[in-house]
Amino acid sequence: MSGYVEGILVILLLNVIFAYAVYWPLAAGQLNLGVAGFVGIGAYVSAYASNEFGIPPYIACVGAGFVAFALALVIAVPVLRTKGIYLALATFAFGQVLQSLFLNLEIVGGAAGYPVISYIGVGGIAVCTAAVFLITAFLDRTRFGLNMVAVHDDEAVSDLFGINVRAYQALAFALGAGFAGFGGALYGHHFSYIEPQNYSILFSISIVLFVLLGGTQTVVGPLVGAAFFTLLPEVLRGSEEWRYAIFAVCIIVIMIPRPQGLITSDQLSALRQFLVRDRLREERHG
Amino acid sequence: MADQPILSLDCVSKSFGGLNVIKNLSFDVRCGQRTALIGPNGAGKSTVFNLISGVFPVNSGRISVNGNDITNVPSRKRMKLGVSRSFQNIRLVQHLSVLENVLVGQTPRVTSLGDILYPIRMTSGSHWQCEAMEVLERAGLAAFARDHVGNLPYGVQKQIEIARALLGGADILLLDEPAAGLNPQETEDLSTRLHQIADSGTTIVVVEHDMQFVGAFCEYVVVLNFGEMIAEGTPQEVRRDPHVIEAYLGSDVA
Amino acid sequence: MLEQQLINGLMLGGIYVLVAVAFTLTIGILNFLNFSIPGIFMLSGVFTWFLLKSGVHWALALAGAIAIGAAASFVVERFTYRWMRSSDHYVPLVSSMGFLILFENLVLVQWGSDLQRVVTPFADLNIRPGSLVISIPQLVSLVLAVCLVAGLQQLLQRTQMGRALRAIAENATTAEILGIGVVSLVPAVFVIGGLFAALGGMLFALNYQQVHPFMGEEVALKGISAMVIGGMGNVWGSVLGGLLIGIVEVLSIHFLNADFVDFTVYGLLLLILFFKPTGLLGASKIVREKF
Repeated sequence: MSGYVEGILVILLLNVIFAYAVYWPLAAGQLNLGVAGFVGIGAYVSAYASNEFGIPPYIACVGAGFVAFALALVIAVPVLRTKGIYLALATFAFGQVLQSLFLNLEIVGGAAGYPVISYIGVGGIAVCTAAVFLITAFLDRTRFGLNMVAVHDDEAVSDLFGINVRAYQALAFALGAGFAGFGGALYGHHFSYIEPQNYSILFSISIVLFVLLGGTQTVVGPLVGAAFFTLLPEVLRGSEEWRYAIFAVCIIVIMIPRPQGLITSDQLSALRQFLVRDRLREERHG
Repeated sequence: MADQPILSLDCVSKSFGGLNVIKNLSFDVRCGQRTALIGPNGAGKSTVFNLISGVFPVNSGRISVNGNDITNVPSRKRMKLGVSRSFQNIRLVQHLSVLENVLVGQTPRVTSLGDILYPIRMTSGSHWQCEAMEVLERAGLAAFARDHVGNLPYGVQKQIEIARALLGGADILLLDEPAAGLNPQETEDLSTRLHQIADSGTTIVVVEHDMQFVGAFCEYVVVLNFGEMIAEGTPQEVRRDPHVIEAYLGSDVA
Repeated sequence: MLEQQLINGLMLGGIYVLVAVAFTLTIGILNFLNFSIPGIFMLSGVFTWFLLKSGVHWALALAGAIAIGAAASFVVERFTYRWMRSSDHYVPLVSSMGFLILFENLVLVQWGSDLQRVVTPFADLNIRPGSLVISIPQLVSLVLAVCLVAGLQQLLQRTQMGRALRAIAENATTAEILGIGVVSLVPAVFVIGGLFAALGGMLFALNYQQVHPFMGEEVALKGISAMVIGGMGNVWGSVLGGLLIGIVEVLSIHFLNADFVDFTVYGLLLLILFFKPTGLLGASKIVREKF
């Protein structure tokens, strides 16, 4: 694999993880604009653990994911008191506060950044991304996923049917944060350096952008969005300086006919029925 | 024990911003008794359902189910204690299929982590699904099981709401205007279906405007006007009650 | 020296006020967090620089820069909110961010990413009461910002158009049924919002004498915070919030150091959201809580 292809592949894989970090809160109706903060938490915690205590990198990464998960559960208590745009802005503010902490935390290098000694290669990241995808896809197929859709669509009815709405919202938020932390940890361990400037609101926004572009009604949507977002600028590399402008036009043009994103649940169930019907026809004729 | 009320409201009051919507309301529903809550528009019928299911807290009074005081039980836990309901405006989860909506109805009985994390949308053999399919079949809805609810006719969606409410395992089913918007044939089917449900031991309480339906289906009627009970009894009794006639037709007729 | 810092903070706050008002208009009336506003702010700032550099008379240059911002905002409406009115509240956010990226990159392609120095005819106009230095253009900006907000408030409260806009804020569907021309009024909201953002960008270019393609982002984030701190949808709230943030920002630099600006500003935002989400002045009636 050439260096160029590998480089893009790593970014794609990490973007898929970040996409699911944003997908879970959205599945419960929350727009998390502070996801970069949790990515940063994961990166710093794992790097500190593996640098200072010699903890094996994968364990450090998973552990950092759990730290981000736990932190999100705690912060979810006040954050979930807000709703809608207020919630999005609260997460935004939280992300900004975290970033300024990273910038000022001298123990991990402050604004100068923090090197990571141990290394995780593209193969390891691929396995981790697959794991994140499978966990998400699996959870979506369980009652947990079912109830999450119910909470997203109608909180009052979900509550009457015995679903603990607050708990589901908090879990969705924390699960997303956990994935963000895990992805951030892998990022730090792959690129061997953590720059706090990266964990800005722009990072959060770009992830949110590709998840909404892919669509949040299905598990496949974020995957498609991440792929689109990572690969399209590369495809447009021929028109070097224009590529982000063209890319932006693509986003605007796509959202007009498809405001719910590229992949919707109606579409998937139509596809599924189409396939099933074909199989039935074959069986009948065969 | 058959005479012990399964649902009992004792001096229940509720006000919204100084407006007394329910005033000192008391009535009992006996086990298995098909009961209707009727009254002119704005009498507070749906509010009574909302108080029983816990959407709003009461200002004073007591609500008990099966002898347990549920007045301060959070809404989320009331279905477990025996109260399930449908809604005046259909409140199904639009992004889920019919079967999945009905599965959501089972939530009050799902307690183990294993059940929550069982890939129920991927497989089709679990007892939960068999049970849900059975209820759908009995309601004549099995053909729609995999369809998205959003695309189905109104009458079908109303039936799905009832199927979903049934699966919570509650003893009391509160149905908010189940016959509204249905054509005569659908109303008749609904009546048959509700008789089946009642015969299998569930106590049904309806809020309904369709008096023909109430007369044919219910054994006992509670009449509300301006948040107060003005009459109760069999459909025949309340029909003759002067207060009821006055409430519905105006004082000059009485 | 503290007094000077406070004055600088107020001046900076004046810019935030304008951006906050731009945000609060689309949020308050349309329930839409319009992320193209930083792009419009930047367009106007960059065109101020470009037109002045090209030797256009300063009055024409400033008018041109503002007109470009308002026109861009009009275009944004055509391609975003118009199509997605009935979707989830965060959906039009995506295409408005698309416009932010588009505007930034168009400017990037044309003029590169370097910081450009704005040569203004008013650079050295100062008054010096005692040992303080007050830049006249900055003072004018601040006064202008407050006057415009007052004018906007009058527009919303007293005119036919304002009543129609408040009806849309209450419930767009009902407003439409009542015969209010929602389709023609929404672009007006965007243009007014665009004017405020563009004015902010222009004044920023004149006062701080530098522009670059990404200049809108940080100011916009502060503007959003100002809007929330003051009370979302409340135009006077935006004034209070904007000035407050300007002051908090310079005080953090004065007493802590420049790295702590974000910490204090966004920490304050977070606290407000947790304990008084309607903001200091309370969200006005034009904001619906419909989530």
